[in-house]
Amino acid sequence: MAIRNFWSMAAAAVGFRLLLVLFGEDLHLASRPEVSTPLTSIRRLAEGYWLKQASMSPYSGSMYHGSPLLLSVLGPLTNKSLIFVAVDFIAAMLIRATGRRLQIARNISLKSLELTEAVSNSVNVSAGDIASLIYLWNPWALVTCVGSCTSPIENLMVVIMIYGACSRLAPLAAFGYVMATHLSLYPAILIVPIILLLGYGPDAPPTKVFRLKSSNASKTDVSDNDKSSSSRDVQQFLWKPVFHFILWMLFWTFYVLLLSSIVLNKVGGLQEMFEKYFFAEVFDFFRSFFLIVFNMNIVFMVLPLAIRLKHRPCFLAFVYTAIVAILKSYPSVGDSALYLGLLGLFANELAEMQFTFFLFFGYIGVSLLSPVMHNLWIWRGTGNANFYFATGLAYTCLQTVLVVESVSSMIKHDRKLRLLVTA
Amino acid sequence: MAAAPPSLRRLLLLLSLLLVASVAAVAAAVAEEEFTEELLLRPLPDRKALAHFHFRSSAPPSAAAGSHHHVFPKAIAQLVQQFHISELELSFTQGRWNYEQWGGYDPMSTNYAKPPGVELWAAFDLPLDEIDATWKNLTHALSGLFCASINFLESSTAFSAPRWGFKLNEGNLRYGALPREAVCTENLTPWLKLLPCRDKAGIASLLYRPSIYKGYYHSQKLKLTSSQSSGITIDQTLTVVLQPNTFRGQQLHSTDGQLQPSWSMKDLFNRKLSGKCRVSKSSRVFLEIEKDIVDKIDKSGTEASWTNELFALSTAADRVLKELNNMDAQSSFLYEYDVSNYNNDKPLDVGITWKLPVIWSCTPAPYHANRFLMGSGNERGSIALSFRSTNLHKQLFGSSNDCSIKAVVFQVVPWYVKVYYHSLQIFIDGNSKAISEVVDKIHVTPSEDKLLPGTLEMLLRVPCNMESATLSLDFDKGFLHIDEYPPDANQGFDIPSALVTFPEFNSSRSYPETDTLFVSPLLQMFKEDGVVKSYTEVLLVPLTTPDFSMPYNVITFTCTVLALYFGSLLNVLRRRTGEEERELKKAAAKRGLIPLLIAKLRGKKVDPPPQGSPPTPLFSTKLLLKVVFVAVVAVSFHYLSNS
Repeated sequence: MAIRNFWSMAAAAVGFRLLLVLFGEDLHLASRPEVSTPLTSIRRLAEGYWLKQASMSPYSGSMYHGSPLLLSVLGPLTNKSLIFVAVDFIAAMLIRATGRRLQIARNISLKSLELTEAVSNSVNVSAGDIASLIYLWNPWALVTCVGSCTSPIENLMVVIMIYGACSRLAPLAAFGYVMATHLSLYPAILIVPIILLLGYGPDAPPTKVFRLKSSNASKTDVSDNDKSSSSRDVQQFLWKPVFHFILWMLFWTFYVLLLSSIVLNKVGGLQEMFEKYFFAEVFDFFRSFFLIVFNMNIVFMVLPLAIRLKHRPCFLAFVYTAIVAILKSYPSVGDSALYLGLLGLFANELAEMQFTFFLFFGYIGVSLLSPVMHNLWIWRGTGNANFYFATGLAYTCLQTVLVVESVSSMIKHDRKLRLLVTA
Repeated sequence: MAAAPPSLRRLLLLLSLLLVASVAAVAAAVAEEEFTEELLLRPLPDRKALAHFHFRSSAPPSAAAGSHHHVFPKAIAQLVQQFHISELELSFTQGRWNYEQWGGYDPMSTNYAKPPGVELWAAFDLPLDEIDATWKNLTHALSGLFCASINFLESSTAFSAPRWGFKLNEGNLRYGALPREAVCTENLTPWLKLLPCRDKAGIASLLYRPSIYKGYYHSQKLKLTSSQSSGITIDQTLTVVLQPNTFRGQQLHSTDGQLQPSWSMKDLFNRKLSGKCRVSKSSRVFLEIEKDIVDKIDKSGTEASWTNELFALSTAADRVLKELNNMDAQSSFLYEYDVSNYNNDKPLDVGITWKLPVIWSCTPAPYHANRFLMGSGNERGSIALSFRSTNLHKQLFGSSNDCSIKAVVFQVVPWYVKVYYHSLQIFIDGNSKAISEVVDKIHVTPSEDKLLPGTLEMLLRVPCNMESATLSLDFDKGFLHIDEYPPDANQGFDIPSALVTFPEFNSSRSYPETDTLFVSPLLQMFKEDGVVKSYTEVLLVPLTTPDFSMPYNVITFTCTVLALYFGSLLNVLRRRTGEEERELKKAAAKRGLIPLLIAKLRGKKVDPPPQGSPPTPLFSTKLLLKVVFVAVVAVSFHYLSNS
């Protein structure tokens, strides 16, 4: 069941972005704290580019904290927003293609479980279309794109990585992984779902369900033919694409380092990048206990989630992205735009999710309250920082509820499949 | 003199210079510590009076005299020896020099107009890598010596190393400013202690605290130069602008304007001068009359003697010095009094009594530089620096149109004002100009968070016929850590003054040397390098203040949310609904120990367990073993940790 007007809606979204880029100067989105963080701000990038042009190290002040590659790509451009519109569109298209892959994989596994009628009749929408439309029309993605900060590019790299892994294109996945990690480090934890995706293939019901099915089948009629089919259903971990991925990853890493050293040639090369960009900025959080705790929290949940959701690596990638967006040190709406877009990919599986009404209006409420509180604190001086902090806290709570609910409903969905098989 | 041909004048000048040089050579050969005291008084156009105290102590190279001093302050000599200072200048200032009224193109404004608060710069005679550490020690030493919080300049966020914007150097100069430092008598007392007579005798005895701190501008400065060849020299100066509190001679004889207030030393300082400091080599008082007034006297046709048509001085001057000027224009007069001619019975009370209402103006700097903030709110803003032409160059160089004027801007901004240097915009007469058209040379040291202030050094070249120019730089306001805020956080933070220098304009004045054996340090200062400088205003930037009780809220609430996240996510991941249902069924079948005991206590007959499993003994051997094991481990650990 594909969405009928997909292309016209996508075109409308791109047109709307262009309209905002051309006429939205007065919105001053680039200076909103929700949109551009010190790590992604394009103004800071311009300052870094100016310093580089003045033959100084772009990291010599504490203005620019981004990658040297972004500096040489985005620095010379005058109208950067157009690039971001294109980047957003490509990301949406890749999300759509990922959705297609997931859909195919899902249909195959449902067919092998002979549950096509039982599940597909209740809900079956084209998840890819929905996800890409969510990504394109998400107001936060719009704001991020028009406010021209570098997070659309980081998002694109994550999407490229997931798409590459879904379609088992090891070089592409490795490229996305290396670039995304280079740009913001947090996507490094996505190595777990990527390896699972490459090894096991896209999301499927748990292996136990297939075993149950095959044992059920073997009870009814024992034949060699069926046994071979059941062993094919239970997926084996394929080492070959994973090895390819690692090789390509090394290759891309060297390539990126080489490019960075060329960019920073005049001001001390790679050493400058490692000293000023990685160890001073990216590993900044090791300075104080609190920040360590916050950034370590991201890592704590990696293993339990990987154990429980290893049969659904794509969903695992979504959960990791959401956790990173909750707990990273400079969160922005751009990160939320990414995981909300990915959430659309699981529209079928998460159809029975709870609290969706609460979450939807919670998100709307927070995104309306946050600018108001910020204004009261910074501009009017009538409210103090507590109000703004409270909004941020509410936002974190909402995201937590979203993550927990989506994980729980995914597990419930798997259980439902198992019950259907055993029934 | 004015009638003498220029060639003859030049010859005279040369001769006098030669004499000065020979005198200096003789002085160096004799090599003894010297102390001189001088006072300069000058009426200002806005009915105020300027008083400038100048004390110079000099010591010969330390090798000659060892560490023994009799006039020169020992504390300063030790400071120089310890920190290898080649040059140092420390100023404490209260109030702002009014460049429009009090002049911007004379030695007084270029050398003694200082930014509010404390300004300290020092050049060291040390290898470059030792300079920062030495500077830090120096700030502590000076802090103790002058009873001021100069030690705040120790932090690397407070000082910078300008290369050419402040003073040309090879990286051995450090500059720091504390705009909010309050200046009062506790800073003056240690400063006076460096003088051989303190304020007990000589010119320093005029420093009656209530009257000098009542003034509009108060700048106390210590300048130190040291070299291997000429030894150490310190110039201690105190510049005050006072409002004479007298209405003597208020009678208005004319209808066109009010008479300037007549004043004398007694009115300004509430003291008269009764003799010099005995150890001083020379002790003099000067009264300066501006060029504009001299012009007026000349027009009236009388000679500029101590009493003329416009004013009368209270005492006849010992000497009248006329500025040597290259141009034909009239120049200022200095009336000199030698304090050694006066004593307790016959105190000196220099004063001026105006006879006619006079309106005159001081020569302004080529451009009035002002600095202000733009924007509102606590998120971002802009710093603007504006130049307003005073048309001085037209008087000096005629009105040619294709010349240009150089101006050097030096500005230090603290790190929490995050300046975007790429946003530099220049407007000349209201029209936006490309940076490359105006900026000849620029050197930026970008600020680093909590580590380094931003420094901007910029050489501008602006057309002569420009009326006004504005430079603007955007900035973001940073967030400070909660314990970095001062006690009155809502007052805002000060950005130190910017310095604007006009290298093509020189304000030095030279006077003929009448006394061949002695060079007056004050007049020598007037003659030396006098590149026109002006300091801009200090800016007050309000920063966002947090709620100072917030950290506790933040910790508790954030931890709650994190607990929520962890708890609920782990709960979801851990739960296996199928197994739980099975477990529940089992649990329903089993009976616990406590209900069993309760039933026994009530005397009811206990149902036998359905499966016939043996009742668990209260102390099973396994449990006993565990307890013993833990006890042994604990005892052994205790034993080991104690031994």
